[in-house]
Amino acid sequence: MKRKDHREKLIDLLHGNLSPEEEKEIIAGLERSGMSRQEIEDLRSVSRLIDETPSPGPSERMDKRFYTMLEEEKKNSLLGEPEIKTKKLSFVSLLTPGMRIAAGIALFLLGWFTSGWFGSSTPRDRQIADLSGEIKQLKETLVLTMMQQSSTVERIKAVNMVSEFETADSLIIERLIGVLNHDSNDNVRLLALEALVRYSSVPVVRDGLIGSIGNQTSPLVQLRLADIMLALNEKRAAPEFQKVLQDARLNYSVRGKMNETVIALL
Amino acid sequence: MMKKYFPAALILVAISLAANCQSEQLVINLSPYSVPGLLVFENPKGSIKVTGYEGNVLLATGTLRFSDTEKPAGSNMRRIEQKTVDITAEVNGNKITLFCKSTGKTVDFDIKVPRNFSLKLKSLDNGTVEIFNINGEIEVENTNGDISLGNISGSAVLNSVYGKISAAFRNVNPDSPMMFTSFEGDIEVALPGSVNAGLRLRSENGEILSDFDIKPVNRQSVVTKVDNTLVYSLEDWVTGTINKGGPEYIFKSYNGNIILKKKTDLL
Repeated sequence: MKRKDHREKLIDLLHGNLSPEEEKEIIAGLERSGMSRQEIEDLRSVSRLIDETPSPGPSERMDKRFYTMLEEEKKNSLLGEPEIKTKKLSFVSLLTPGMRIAAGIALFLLGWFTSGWFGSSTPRDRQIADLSGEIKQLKETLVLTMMQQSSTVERIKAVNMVSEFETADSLIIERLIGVLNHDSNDNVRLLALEALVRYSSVPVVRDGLIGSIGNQTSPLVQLRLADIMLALNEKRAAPEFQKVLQDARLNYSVRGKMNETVIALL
Repeated sequence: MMKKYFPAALILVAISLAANCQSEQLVINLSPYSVPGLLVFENPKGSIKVTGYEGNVLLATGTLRFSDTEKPAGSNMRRIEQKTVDITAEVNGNKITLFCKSTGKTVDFDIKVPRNFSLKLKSLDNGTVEIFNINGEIEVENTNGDISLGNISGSAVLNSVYGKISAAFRNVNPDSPMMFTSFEGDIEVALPGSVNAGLRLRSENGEILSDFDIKPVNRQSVVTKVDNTLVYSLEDWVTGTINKGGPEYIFKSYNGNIILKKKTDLL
């Protein structure tokens, strides 16, 4: 038998892949070349140990970190614009590394020259403006997500956050009107109403408030709506209140207030 | 990965046949993974009492308030009792939803839950809601009856129309806003003396009383457009802060008083 052949067999022996006859042959050969039986056995047990040692998998913490990262990434991609992202990716992947470096240098030079042309203060101001715009956008997205939470506390937080905004965009207003009409908790509805009152000069908000009169069962919300419509002298609300007044179960105090409001408005 | 296949809870139903009350008990053995959990329950008619304790079993007992056995059955006739209270539970992860089918009868519930549990309860008619020894987020709506909370750690959003609200907090969650509203009833809330909170209070026909040192915040002006005129007015909420200020606690009533006090004892 050739020497090379023996070497291959030696590895097979350590892994225990040999037939008993071959094993005997190799061991005999090894013994002949001056290796004791004990040494061979030691070698085999070490090799077995190595085989049996489990390769370490990711720890539980790492798992968790990965999944939270994945969740965040998922959320981001839900909120952002996925189409643009994929387009960008495929474009970049077309470039070879060399072209990427060249493009990077070109971009850097372009940036340097444009900053020289436009002066140093304007881009900075623009950056700050961009940043504060981004923060506002981020907050709005957060509010919109929080408004859909099943936890009432989270929804209260969301509506309270809207009250901190100086202006609210149409989507936030639309969702607030949605909360006022459909939230399962009357307390959250009351808060949404308080938040909307600040924008009562916006026609959409005013229409939303009038439209919500018939959807309310909480006396606190009904009464507040009557107060607001009276303060705004909103005549279109009168027929809505008249409809509500036909409900026999209407709270006594609310009935009184609504009657007054209808008379004052007509 | 094993966790996924581990049953979230085991449900056992036991019907207790006490001598002269018709009640039924649902026992849910919670796995360690479903604590802290959330209990959701809407009682169509009757009271709800929830008590937190050191244990891992959720025990819901429903008892008919007006027993059929009190009615005479007629001469030579015995009434054979039928199952009248039907309690079911849906377990979804750590969220447990209880359902009660009682065909118009008033059923009072006594529920024991692990102390670290959040609650979302609603009594639609004819009952009070009482909660003790809970550490979690509590949400209660009870249009027609009282709501009372004792020895609570966490936060609460409570809402009634004709009932009184009373709540005593041992600790509060420093990040959570709270809200207490009742149209006709008084609202009485006891908070730890060291609580940091922002307040918004308003009762049209009632009084506001407190032994806290509330620092008033200036009322903000509200601009409204009436026809084509801009009208500036002050907002009608009373706003202020306790200690360093913090999450907003909102109290609103129409005919009731608002009482905000430092917690001295447990209830």
